[in-house]
Amino acid sequence: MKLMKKSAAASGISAPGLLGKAIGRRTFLQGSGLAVGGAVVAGSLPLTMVRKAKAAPRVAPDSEIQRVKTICGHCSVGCSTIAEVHNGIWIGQEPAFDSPINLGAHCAKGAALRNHGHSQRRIKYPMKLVDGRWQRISWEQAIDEIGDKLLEIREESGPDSLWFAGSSKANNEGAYLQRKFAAFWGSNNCDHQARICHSTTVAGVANTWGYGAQTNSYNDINKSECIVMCGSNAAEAHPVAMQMILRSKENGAKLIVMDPRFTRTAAHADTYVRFRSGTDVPLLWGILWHVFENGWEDTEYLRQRVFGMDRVREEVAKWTPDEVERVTGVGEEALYDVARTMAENRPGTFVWCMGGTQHTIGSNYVRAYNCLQLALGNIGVEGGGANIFRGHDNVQGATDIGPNPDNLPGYYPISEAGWQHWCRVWDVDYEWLEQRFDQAEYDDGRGGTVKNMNAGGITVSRWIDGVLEDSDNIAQRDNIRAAIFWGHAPNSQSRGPEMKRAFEMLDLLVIADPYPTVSAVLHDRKNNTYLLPAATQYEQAGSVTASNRSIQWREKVIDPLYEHKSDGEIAYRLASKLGFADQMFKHIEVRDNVPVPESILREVNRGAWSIGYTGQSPERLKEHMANQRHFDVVSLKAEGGPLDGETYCLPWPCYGTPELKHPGTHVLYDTSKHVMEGGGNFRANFGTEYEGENLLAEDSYPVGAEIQGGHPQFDSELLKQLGWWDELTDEEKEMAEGRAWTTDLSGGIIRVAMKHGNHPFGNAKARAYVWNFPDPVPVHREPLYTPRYDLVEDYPTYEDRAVFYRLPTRWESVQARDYSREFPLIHTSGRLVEYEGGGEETRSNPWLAELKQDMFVEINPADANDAGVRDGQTVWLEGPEGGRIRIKALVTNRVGRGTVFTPFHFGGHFQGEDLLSKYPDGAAPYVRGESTNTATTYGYDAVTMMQETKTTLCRVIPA
Amino acid sequence: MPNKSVLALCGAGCLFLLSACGDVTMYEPGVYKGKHDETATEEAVQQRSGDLRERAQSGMTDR
Amino acid sequence: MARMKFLCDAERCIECQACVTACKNEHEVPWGVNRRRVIVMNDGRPGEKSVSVACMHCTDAPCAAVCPVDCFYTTADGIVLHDKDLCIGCGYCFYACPFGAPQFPQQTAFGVRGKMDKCTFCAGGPETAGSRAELIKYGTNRVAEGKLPLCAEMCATKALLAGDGDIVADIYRKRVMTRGGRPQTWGWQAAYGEDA
Repeated sequence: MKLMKKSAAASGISAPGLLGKAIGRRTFLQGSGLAVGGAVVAGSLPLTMVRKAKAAPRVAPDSEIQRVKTICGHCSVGCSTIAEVHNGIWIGQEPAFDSPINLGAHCAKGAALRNHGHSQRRIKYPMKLVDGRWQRISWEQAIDEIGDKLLEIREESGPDSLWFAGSSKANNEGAYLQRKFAAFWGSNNCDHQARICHSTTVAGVANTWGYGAQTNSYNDINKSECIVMCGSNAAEAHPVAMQMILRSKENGAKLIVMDPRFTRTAAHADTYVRFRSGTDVPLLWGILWHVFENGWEDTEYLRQRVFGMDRVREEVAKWTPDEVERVTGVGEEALYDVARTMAENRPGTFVWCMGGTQHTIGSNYVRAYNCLQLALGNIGVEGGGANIFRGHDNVQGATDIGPNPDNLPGYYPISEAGWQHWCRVWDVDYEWLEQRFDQAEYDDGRGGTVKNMNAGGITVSRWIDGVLEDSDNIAQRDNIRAAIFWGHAPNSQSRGPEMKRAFEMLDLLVIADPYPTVSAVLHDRKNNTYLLPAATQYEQAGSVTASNRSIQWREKVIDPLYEHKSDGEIAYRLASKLGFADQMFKHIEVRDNVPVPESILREVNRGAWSIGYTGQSPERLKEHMANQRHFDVVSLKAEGGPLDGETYCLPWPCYGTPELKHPGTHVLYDTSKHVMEGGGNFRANFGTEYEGENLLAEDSYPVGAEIQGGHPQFDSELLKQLGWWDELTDEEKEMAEGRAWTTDLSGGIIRVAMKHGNHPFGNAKARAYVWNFPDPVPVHREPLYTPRYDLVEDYPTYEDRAVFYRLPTRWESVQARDYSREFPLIHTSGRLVEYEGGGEETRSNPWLAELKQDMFVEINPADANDAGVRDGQTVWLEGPEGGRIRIKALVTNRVGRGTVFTPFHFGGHFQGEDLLSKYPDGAAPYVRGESTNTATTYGYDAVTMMQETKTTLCRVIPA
Repeated sequence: MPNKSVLALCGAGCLFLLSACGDVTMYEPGVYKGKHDETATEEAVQQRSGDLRERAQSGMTDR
Repeated sequence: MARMKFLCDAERCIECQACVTACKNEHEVPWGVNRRRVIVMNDGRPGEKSVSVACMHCTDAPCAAVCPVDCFYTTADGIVLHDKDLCIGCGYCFYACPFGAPQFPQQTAFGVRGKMDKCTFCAGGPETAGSRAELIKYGTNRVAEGKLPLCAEMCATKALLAGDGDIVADIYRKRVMTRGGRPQTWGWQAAYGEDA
């Protein structure tokens, strides 16, 4: 049938005129979706005080639309997007095809970013709880009251009585100021999401080969012949990364997914291995057993570049196929197949995420992955690597230079030397800063004592114990009495019911966030609770470090909505009130109370030599953003143009000063390139020998290196010994004298070392044997709450410790009891594609919220039948520590028999009760539900205090 | 027969009236009855096809 | 003459829903109306596959064939659109459509979007391109600006392709060739048997 258009007569009717002349494409889009989802609250506000989220409809000729390139604020892939802005209103979102990272692509969250530009479900102005009701206050009043209370608590209990969570969602500049804020307040009690995300990865890989970061990149996976993903569900957690993974697969790479759950990623795998949650070490040793058995290891690589693999070999020998099957449930054939596929398809990359990190022995898992990759010679090569997909958009950056309790920006230690270095960068007197801290000495947990300035602070996973624990048992003057949640969702941490109590015991609670978050509603506090509206990532400019270490510049799309303020401004206002702003912002430009991000980044550039955060000046980063099209999708290298030869957004390490023009490092530890072209080798960070064994590399060095073999880190002495000292300028000599490459503020030592083709951080072997860890060779230890109690005798956990990150920490006393009869199911948790983190932001976005409206538990049909539960039925999921959640059952084969899965993004319900009435009016997210962490349990990694949220126990019963 | 002349007159009158309405059509099933869309015409399509082709090359391919 | 087509490569689709939210974002489609959705087969089992489905802009569109008020028309490049002023919201097109594309707003039966609503291939409707009237009734008109549907432009893995059928076919064909002749194409086994 041919459909005819009606002829001329009709066309006259639709001629322009009735509607005025044709207007540019984007009439401001009215929030029709918002109106449906819930009450529109802006109308009830005194508008003169509030920058409205929405302006009147407008006419926008194309020429008046500003196109702002910014970076998605959800995961760590680092997708660029183009925001169309008219009259300060974000009216359209266009794909950034030029970005070599995402080529315009987004996941559900990235494609829904524009909603953040007119969201009404935010905190709109500062508020405080007055007798249990939210009351609007001014910024001045809020800062005054919070500051007075903090000073009062400090007076009574010392600076460590304040604990605060900074944010992996802050730009580098914001995260850096958060760390600096803690330092100038005089405490190490600050932390952020990385603790409960990849802390075990960072500690594990840094101790193995040098830096705590993804070694290669998403793009580099295009060069892999084999891709192994273990505990990573990229299809939901890093969807745009799947673009590169599937492209690589199309080019012939084998894709192996190992996970207790048949994830959406597994659906695309060539090989899927299901194993029992919490048994990664036996699984990996099971693979490595076949590698060694068949002589598939790269012996020359091991000789040249790896220390201690023989010790690993001894442990692996114990993991015969039978024993592996007994513990993991995976048969010999499957693991032989994985081992052979990896051996025959090199280079191969190994990807892991939270499934591998959030365990009581997460740091063992990480190092087991590392050992397998080292044995196969897969580290330091294109297409290989440990491709650790980080979580939040700037969790890598916040880990590198942000609010960490156990190190300073650039991973400088909190020992005196580290503080001295940063005091020189900050141009403040070390003694003055030292006096800001508590001067008493406390138990260091290793038989000695330590001052709190040099002792790791309380972590985000344990802040609740910092509040609840008897103060005599805490290695600081008093309990935590005040907490600031500055861009952090509490429902991502375990032990919900205890958290509720901890919130209630605090003398002061401050929440600085665009959204109220679960911190505002979980508890029954009546007073001394403040909400400060913090701007989103799209309302402040700054740099942001993607998982692959590329540092992209994020332009500000719109001014902060309502009365929101940038992280920098909040830091400045608080520091001013607390009396240390002059010192803290001594060399940072501040305009109208807002610190200038470029100026902050330049300060970072002046200090973070150790990890090469020094070459990425704001100017260079902006030039990269402007020339995205020039970068190759596989190599991330610019071909031609003004940036010819540089790597996209100068992935750290980008050594030396910006003037040195280091191109950034695409693949870490890659000896096939000159150091000035991004080449490298493993870091010499642990001395030159261990118990008489050489730790330096043998016959392995980057292309063009003059020292053709291992060497220690560079310092002024080494330069002199080599006769290279006089290549420094007089000015450089003055600053470099007596300094190492990490503390020479001139960058001269680095410049000279690299000119000679040598790596400033030395050239050593990777450590398969990490003697400074509780388990120098990774061993298996059963989870504290294990369904296989019969294995505890063979594979027990650690002994309890009296002081670990200032707190008593339990392992064996928890494992002492068998819960597996009453709580027969393994409870594991993870991400959904629609939501992120605690989910407050994404559940407040109607375009996303519509897609997942109920919190649920995935349960195998057999377990569902055992429990008498039907698909879609409401059930109680109960944890062994008493927490219980009321949710929907999703009966599916996605999980195996004996395992249930819950997503962790929900919040706003607590043990069956909807907390809607506790939110400030109109600020509750569209979708609320039980937090999975209400039902999770105790359990922490023995190196980093990572929480155990991937393997605990539960039971499911009909509600 | 006055009836016949009245009928004839009516008939003539009707014919006259109808002749003034040039575009009276019978109902044609399956033929679009709505408003004209300027951007649906061959001309409009030809104008944009080059842009759309370029857009597909830059946005849909793997680069 | 070009003919606009969607194609969803099931080997690449990861069920991420970017196409769904991109559509919501671009056209401010209200809660409850889904011009595009992701359909999953064998959910949670080996063989799990997903495809993103919206109006397929059929050449011989069944919706148009059954429409009692003839509100459908096809652009010269093959995009099936309709006139909401004429639509009576009867839902007969919903019977006829093999893809479940027509949507009917839940709340406002005869409100602004009370009539049938469906994917426009981001080509608006029979109102002046870029006008407010077009925006409110049909959404934006990207095609008139030389842009393709945002769902495909933002697809996480470039599984969803949109554009001139010839170009889409070229891109897809190249991909299938790269896959080394492995019969990974969705539907292959159904069409040619397990061993093909």
